[in-house]
Amino acid sequence: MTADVGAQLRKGVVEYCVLGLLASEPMYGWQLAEILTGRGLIASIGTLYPMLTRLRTQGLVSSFNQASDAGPVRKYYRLTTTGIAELGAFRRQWAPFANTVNELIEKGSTS
Amino acid sequence: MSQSDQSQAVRNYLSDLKAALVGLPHEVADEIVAGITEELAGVDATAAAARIVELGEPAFIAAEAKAGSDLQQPLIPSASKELADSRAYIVVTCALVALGGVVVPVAGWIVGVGMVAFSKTWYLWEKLVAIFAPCVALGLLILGAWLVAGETGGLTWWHVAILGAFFVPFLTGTWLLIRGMKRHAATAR
Repeated sequence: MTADVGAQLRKGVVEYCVLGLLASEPMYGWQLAEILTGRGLIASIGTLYPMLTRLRTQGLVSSFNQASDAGPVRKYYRLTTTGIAELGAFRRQWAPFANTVNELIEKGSTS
Repeated sequence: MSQSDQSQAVRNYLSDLKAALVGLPHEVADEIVAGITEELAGVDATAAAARIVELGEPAFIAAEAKAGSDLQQPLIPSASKELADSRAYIVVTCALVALGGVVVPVAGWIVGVGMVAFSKTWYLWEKLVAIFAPCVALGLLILGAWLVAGETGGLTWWHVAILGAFFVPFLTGTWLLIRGMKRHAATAR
């Protein structure tokens, strides 16, 4: 059950983590995958692209090609206006939600 | 490892990856291959080998992608996307393409190809074939019949037009149905 809890928690928040990363700057797929796998939020790059496709289909992110100085032309992803709004709504809910969960799992209903 | 060996290693990896991704929604598969290709392009042999190790087995990537495509709900629910992926949507769309024009002349067929255009099931080239091939085929049939009308006697251009308007969309709809159901079965596995 412990492993399932971790997987379920990741599934619930990982797309918002992608939106959060893209809020700071446009990123390409490999860049996102390295951060997310490094933090243990996805298992491989195979998890990332279905997510990016879904986010783009929903209009939360858009993509554009950009040549780098040394490397090849890369497809970058960035937040759309809808994506910014969606991330803002999640941010407003996340802190109270996390606080509530923390209180309940640490202290039960006595607080 | 020489430059040619490195290129061959990358080619082999990408080839294995494409094979492993068969059955995934084509948009996702294309995106994964493009993303990994751009990462492996232009790096030296050592860096490419390190990236390939970091990426992992193509079968693992494909399994993760399939799990990611199947399990997660969209942040913003999209009824039309779910409908486009369903078996019912494919069958209704193909039925409208094949027979919609018979039930409601012209308009029924237009609704069918409109649903094809907005679906997630078929590739872009299949959509273009579904939309334009019947128009071209019907035009050629009518032109041919018109040119030989004097020699064939009873067969006039409008006989051919009526027959073509029935059979050509029927063939297109059947072709789309076969390809769509195969793809649906593959993605449902």
